[in-house]
Amino acid sequence: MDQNTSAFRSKAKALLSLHSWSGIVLGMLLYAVIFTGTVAVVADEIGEWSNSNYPQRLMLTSDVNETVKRLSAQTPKEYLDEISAYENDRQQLVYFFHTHKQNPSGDMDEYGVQYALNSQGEIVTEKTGFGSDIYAQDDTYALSRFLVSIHTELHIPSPWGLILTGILGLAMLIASVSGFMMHRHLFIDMFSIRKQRDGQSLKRDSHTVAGTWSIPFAILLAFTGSFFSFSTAFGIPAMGIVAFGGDQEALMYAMVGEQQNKSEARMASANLNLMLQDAVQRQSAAPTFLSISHIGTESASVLAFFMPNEGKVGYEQLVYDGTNGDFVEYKPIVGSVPSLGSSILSLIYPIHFGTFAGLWSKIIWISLGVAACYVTISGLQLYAHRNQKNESSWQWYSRLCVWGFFGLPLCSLASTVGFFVSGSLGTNQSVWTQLSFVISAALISVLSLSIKNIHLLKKVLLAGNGLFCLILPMLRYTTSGTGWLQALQHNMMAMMFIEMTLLFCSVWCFFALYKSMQFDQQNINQTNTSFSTQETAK
Amino acid sequence: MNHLIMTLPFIMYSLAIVFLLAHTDPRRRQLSNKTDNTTNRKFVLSVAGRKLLAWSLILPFIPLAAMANYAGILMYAGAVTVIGWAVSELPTSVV
Repeated sequence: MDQNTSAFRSKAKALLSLHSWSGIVLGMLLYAVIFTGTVAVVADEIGEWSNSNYPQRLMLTSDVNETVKRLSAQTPKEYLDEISAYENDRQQLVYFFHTHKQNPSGDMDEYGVQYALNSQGEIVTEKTGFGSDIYAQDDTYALSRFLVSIHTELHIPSPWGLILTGILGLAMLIASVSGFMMHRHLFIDMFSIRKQRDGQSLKRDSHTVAGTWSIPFAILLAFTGSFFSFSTAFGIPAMGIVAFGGDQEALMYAMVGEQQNKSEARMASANLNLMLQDAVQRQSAAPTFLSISHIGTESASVLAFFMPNEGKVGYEQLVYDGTNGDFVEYKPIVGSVPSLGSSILSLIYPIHFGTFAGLWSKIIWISLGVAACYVTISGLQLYAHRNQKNESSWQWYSRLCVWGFFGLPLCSLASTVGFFVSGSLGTNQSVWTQLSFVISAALISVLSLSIKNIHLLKKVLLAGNGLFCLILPMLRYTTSGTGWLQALQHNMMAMMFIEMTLLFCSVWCFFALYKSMQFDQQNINQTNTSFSTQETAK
Repeated sequence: MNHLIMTLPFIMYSLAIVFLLAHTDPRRRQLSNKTDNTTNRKFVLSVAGRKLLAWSLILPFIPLAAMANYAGILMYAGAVTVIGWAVSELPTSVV
């Protein structure tokens, strides 16, 4: 019996060490990935909000067939291999006529001409280059792209950023599983949060309760996140080397499920508008994007991509024969025939980002992200608090926690301010969004080092967050002129959602600030009372 | 949109059940009595009753699966965990 108890204790101790160290070493970076992941859930909405965009469903209202014919006539023939079409966040329909070739980094990429057309069908911009470069310099997505890139790669060059986020996902997985295994009274303590003498919740209990409730999704999100990072950094290149002898083009054709050598014999293509109408009828929704391959040849095909719809979780891809306009198949995400692997793969992205049921699922996924952030913050604070008591040299860790927890949201908000201000000044938004983040990070670091009192530093950063959350809707209105009435008239749900969330966060920040100041005042009063009691006793 | 509306009643149901579980949680009551003697809870559930209530949180998966509302299943599972955490964080004077 004694042996069993001691074995259990040593196992629990080992698990606690594993749990603590996986959290302490990578906790701050993990917080950065989880926080930006929570923001990335609404990346599309942020894109629409930052451009004050209301989707016009241009793919359904404009004559795609006529536009493609017109643009094909003025585009070099080598770029007619494939045409991608989608509506961007500035009420423009984007057509990218491209072929595939290796970019300077050695990766397979799309290369060609990109046209952005307004609702009247006039060309607004025309760019030639690699798809990755054109997307990286597109100011439309400057803000959402920047925030998502922190989540996926921490802005570290490829593949190192992906490897690091993959390791962070594994650390989250280890912390979740070890936390689950070491807690003996998991279900008994599910609703119990003890209070400290000062009336505040005990940090350990808050950490345990939030962790217990969010364990299933923490494991799910950590696994899917790690899968994304490692499959892009290792998995696909490794598969290319092993199965295709390093032939990336052959690998891509096999993954996409296309024949590598297609007939290039000329043949008239069917009307794209009719195929589009049929796809919309089948899915009862507008496609997210279109991919038109080998137009004007015997091998012409059209693929319409749809977000999950009507209770489904995975994406849908409808393929049409481009020569006669007949519906061919619901195409799997990977390969040419339906498989378990393809089905699982089609579920991973929607499950990780919560994009399977519009705003409703995103609200739930944001809440899960907030819970995960809370678990990370409370865990690190718990460690900082314990060591702060024992050793004065650990003060820096508490300072680091305040710097990270309050600083990262503030830097993200500052980058948004940079996006709007640079947009109104007509300068490069992609550059200024990043620069604003870096400048604010430097300022917050200086502030964190110069303000000696950690509580005061926390209050300053909290006030900064609240102020920026309040300013941003006004700044957006000033730069775009689109108000709430107009937004409601045009059913701009994404924009309203982001504005409401910002205002809610602002209220929360100021409320937390007020409570903190009230708490400080109570402490001062208590100290004064006990001091005067001591004086009277003397 | 229909499948989202179909999920909402189940989420409300889970909120009620989790609220009830928290309200009748013996450990939570024990801790609340330690700090606040004025708390008077007359509503008590047996251990078996609480277990039944907890297991009943799984019931909505059956109709959701029958309706092939897989998005609803995921949403419901996510909502239960978020509601559980939020209710636990509420002060004992509320729950």
